[in-house]
Amino acid sequence: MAKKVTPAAPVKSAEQLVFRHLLIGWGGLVVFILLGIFLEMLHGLKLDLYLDVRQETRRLMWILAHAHGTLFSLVHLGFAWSVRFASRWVASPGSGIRSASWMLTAGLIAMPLGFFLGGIWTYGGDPGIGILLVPIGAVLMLIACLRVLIELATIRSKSAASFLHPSDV
Amino acid sequence: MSRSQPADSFGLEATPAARILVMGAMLIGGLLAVTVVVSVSAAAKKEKALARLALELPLAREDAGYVSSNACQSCHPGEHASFHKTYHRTMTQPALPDTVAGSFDGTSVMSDGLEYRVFRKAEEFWAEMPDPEEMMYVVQGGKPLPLDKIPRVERRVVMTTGSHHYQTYWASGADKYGNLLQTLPLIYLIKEQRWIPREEAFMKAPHDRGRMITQWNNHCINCHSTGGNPGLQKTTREGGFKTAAGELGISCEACHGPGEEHIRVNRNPLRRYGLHGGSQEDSTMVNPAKLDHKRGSQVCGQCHGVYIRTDAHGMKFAEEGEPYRPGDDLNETRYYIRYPQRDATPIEREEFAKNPAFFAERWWEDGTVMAGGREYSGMSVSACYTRGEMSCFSCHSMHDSDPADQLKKGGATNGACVECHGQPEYTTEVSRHTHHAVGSSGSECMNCHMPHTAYALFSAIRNHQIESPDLDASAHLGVPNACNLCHLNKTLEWTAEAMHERYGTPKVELNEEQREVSAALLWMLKGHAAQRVIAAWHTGWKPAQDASGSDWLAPFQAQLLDDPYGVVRYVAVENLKALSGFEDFDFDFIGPENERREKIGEAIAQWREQGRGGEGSGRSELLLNDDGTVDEARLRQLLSERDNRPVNIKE
Repeated sequence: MAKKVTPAAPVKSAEQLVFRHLLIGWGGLVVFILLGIFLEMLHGLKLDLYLDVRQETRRLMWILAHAHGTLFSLVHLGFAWSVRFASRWVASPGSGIRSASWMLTAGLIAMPLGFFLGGIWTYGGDPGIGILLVPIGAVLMLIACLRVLIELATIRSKSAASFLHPSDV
Repeated sequence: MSRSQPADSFGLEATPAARILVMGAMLIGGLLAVTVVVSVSAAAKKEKALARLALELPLAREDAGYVSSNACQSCHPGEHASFHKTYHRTMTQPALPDTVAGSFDGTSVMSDGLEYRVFRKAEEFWAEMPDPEEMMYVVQGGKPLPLDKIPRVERRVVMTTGSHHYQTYWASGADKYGNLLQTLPLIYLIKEQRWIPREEAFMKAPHDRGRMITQWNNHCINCHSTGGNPGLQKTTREGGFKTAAGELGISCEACHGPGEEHIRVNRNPLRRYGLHGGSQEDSTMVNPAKLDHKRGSQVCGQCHGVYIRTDAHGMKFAEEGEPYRPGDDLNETRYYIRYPQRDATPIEREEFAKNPAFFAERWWEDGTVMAGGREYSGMSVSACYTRGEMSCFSCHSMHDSDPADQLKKGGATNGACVECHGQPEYTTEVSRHTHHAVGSSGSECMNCHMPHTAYALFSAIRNHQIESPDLDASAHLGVPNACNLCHLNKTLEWTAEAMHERYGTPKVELNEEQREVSAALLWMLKGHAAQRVIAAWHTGWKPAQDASGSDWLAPFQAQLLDDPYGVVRYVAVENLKALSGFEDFDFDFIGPENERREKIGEAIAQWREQGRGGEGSGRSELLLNDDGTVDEARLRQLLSERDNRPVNIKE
């Protein structure tokens, strides 16, 4: 019979982290769905500043801003769920999770903003200089994901003996 | 637990609704799969057809750094898109179902007495024709054989030229000559959707024609492809060609230079953003609009001019292709021929004396350009260019213009001229200079200084030799002037008086006819073919109709329905049909001679029935009697004096 483990009581810092990322995630969805509506409006009004063939780079950049912003907002919601899930076994989020938190937040700002700014001023097929934010954001997102992965692996190895499926708890 | 319905393989309860869902999903999936298969197979078929065709077409040039316009698209999407709309791009194309305008439906067309039949074999275009290589030998005198005895062959049509007004075609040559492309001497008129023999599409003297035989490889390649190299093989026994081109049609690299190096160095983003942020130009690419006005215009002039290659480059071109690159000085590799005018050099005069026919085909006798497509030659001797800084880009743009004339916004208005000519008499008080109402066609700079006195493609086009109306040239050299091309109902004497009164121009000596009969009628009735076609075109020009009325024109346009030159007949009937009441006038400009003659009478009878004559009645300068009928005696007399000198304009 599997040993029943009482999960660690969620500590305040984990709750704060969860709450913060739920706010960021849902808030991000609002912002980037609004951006999507704005782009649809540009389509609807057939505005040259967006649809003219010379604005292909702008169109691509702004679509990427919308897509990345929406996706990364969902990542924040996933992160909130992950933290909530991990809090069953650890008293408080480790440094990896805490650093991932700010990296994800910075990534959510940097990448879509980079794409959006890159689309405001373009040079033919080259986006504007704002595009420099994109690789920064991408690296932050990548490191954040790795930190979360490592943190979860560590938690799993530490509580291997008692790591049960939540439904068994 | 009992189940009323068995679960299917999707784990769904097999309710009717679930079944419908599953079947719907399968149907949609099936349709998608079919669509994908059909699309892929169509794409593969086209690829295969193109691959087969490629064996006959000019090779892709692998030297000289050409990369084709496809390589430009990803970084310059806007420029590529605007270029893609131009007729420059579609000047030369592989003959594929989506590029061929002509109907290859088994039609037979007679060209200079020989039959050419065009037909399709599935996706391929073919012609049954006299063997073009045999024809070449016979016409060039290498083989004594009547033309109608030349064996007939089937040749695949592999390439097209033109896509705007008309299209002509190239058939593959015999294998032993490499990728030689022989002309199919037929033209497909796109608007009319009909075939005509090639000789009727050019201004060629009917009795001075000779069979029109052309090979694309050594002639048309120069301006109808980008980075063309005829690849003449001097070392093989038969000669032959290994012709290659950077791209068919006139594409990015024709004006900007080969792009290989540009692409290579600009893979580095730091370099690109350094250029974006700085003021330095990219040294690996030429922007003609940023060159000085002469070098910039030479980029267009590489094709839109009259030139011969210098001795050093003539054979080199045949073997290695064009040495000129945008930004170079054209004059280093070519010699641009000027009409020997007042300041002519002894060499120019000598050339003129040696080749009067060459000059007569391209210039009016006062030295203004007559053949269309030679705009650089005209502009480059104009004061606006030699003393000012006018360039092709003062009015034209390849990327921000209507593809029809490539005129940029405002390029066809006074705005283009007043950029330099900003004095009040050309701007705010323009009537002081033009003596025409502000905003009227008579106050448009180009109507007086760039009249439509050049001819190409069944149309009069604006002369790019920017000059003031010259009555002396009209009176003594037969050059149509802007005033009388608009005031069709006025005599040269009327114009001379007006010019003298308004501009102090010295009065010119005129003969009796020039004093008594409208200049436009003289050009139409007794002028030479170029005068006739230019005058006939103006009968349909709205400003001219507004200034001169149009009720009296039909009987005179009708006289040209029997003109010896096909292009004159075409222009005449097109403008006759532009008159009210003649819209449905039925006339085939290449129909039998007797039918054409009959149509003259028909048009005049129709004009009489309509009670025309209008405001021209009783005006002897319009050859109209008081009762509005035509002064037949005078008309016949003028027609009998028609200038039948041969006129050849190869456009």
